[in-house]
Amino acid sequence: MNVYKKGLAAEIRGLSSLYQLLSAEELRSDVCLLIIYPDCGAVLGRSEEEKSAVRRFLAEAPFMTAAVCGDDTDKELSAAADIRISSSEAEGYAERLFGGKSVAQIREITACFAAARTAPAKKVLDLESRAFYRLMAPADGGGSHGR
Amino acid sequence: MGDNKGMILEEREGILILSMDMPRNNLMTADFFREYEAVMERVEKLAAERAYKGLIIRGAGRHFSVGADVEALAERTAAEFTDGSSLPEGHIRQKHFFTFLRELPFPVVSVVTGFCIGSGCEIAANSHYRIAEENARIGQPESAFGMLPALGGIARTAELCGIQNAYELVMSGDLITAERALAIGWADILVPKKQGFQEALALIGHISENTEKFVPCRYRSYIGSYPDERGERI
Repeated sequence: MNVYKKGLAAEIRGLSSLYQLLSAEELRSDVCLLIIYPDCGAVLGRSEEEKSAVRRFLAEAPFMTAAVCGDDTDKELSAAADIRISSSEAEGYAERLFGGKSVAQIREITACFAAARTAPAKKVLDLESRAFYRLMAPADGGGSHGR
Repeated sequence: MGDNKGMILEEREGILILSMDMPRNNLMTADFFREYEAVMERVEKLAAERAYKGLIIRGAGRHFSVGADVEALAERTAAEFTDGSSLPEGHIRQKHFFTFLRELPFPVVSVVTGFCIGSGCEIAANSHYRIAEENARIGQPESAFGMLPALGGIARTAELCGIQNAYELVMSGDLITAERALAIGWADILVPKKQGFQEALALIGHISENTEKFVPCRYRSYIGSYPDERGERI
């Protein structure tokens, strides 16, 4: 398994099972988008316990996961990711999304979507408002808005 | 306001119709938000007083809304004060008049024409249904201006389009076509130019005739019984 970090995005290659993600120390820091290139024949997990652990890990991850999928990609693996893209879409995908945005914006928007996986709409509505005021604070002198 | 007539709220045969006719293609200035909040306060009171078949929201001109005036938004934000743990009162009030649309006891249908951008897009996203005309361009470009959509643009778009499509729409800030909006689930119905309003009347008529009581939390299921222009089920 190899992890290549590019700013707030990271690519991970050489995975035969997504269960390997759980031990990837590189993902514990500033990653907002993880692009997963599964090996041919890669699976979500080798057992039901592993699959449950991976699903839980991905549902709670503070970053978004994009699985690079082909016709033969394991259905359970692709379904567990937030995003499914083809190998041609994967090229430049992070740049297309993140280009021109500040680090703070990328983090705040990603955090809202990470919560939106499981949180009720009311909670996400509140989160997006608080994120907005955190982002707007520096532009108007800062300090006066909810942090 | 010049030649514009402001927020026009009418009733036709039990259907409330809001035509937004504010300057510069419904550019969301401080004036726009003041008028919008006032008219939505009226809608909320009317809804509490008697039963209506539905509410249609549309732009009076070519465009639904070109979105927020970024400079005015920055000024407003700078003027707001919070103790650090709570959101500004002005924002809470403003957001209520966007998100309460989903709680109204009758179907709220946005007729999306021309540009439907930013906070304009959030009015539509907070509605129960979106009828997009073929010329429409839809998007949440806030991220291109150093901010993010905070009037339901993240929460509602994620509900409507799923995490992937919503994340791409919000993070990229790209505008999408009406056809694409239909494909990703943002729009419920796609119609030719100038057909959106009639379609909205027909949809509300269909729901009121076929539904004893509109249940907002199950709103998307009602569209499943609605025939499209070819007479097929959507």
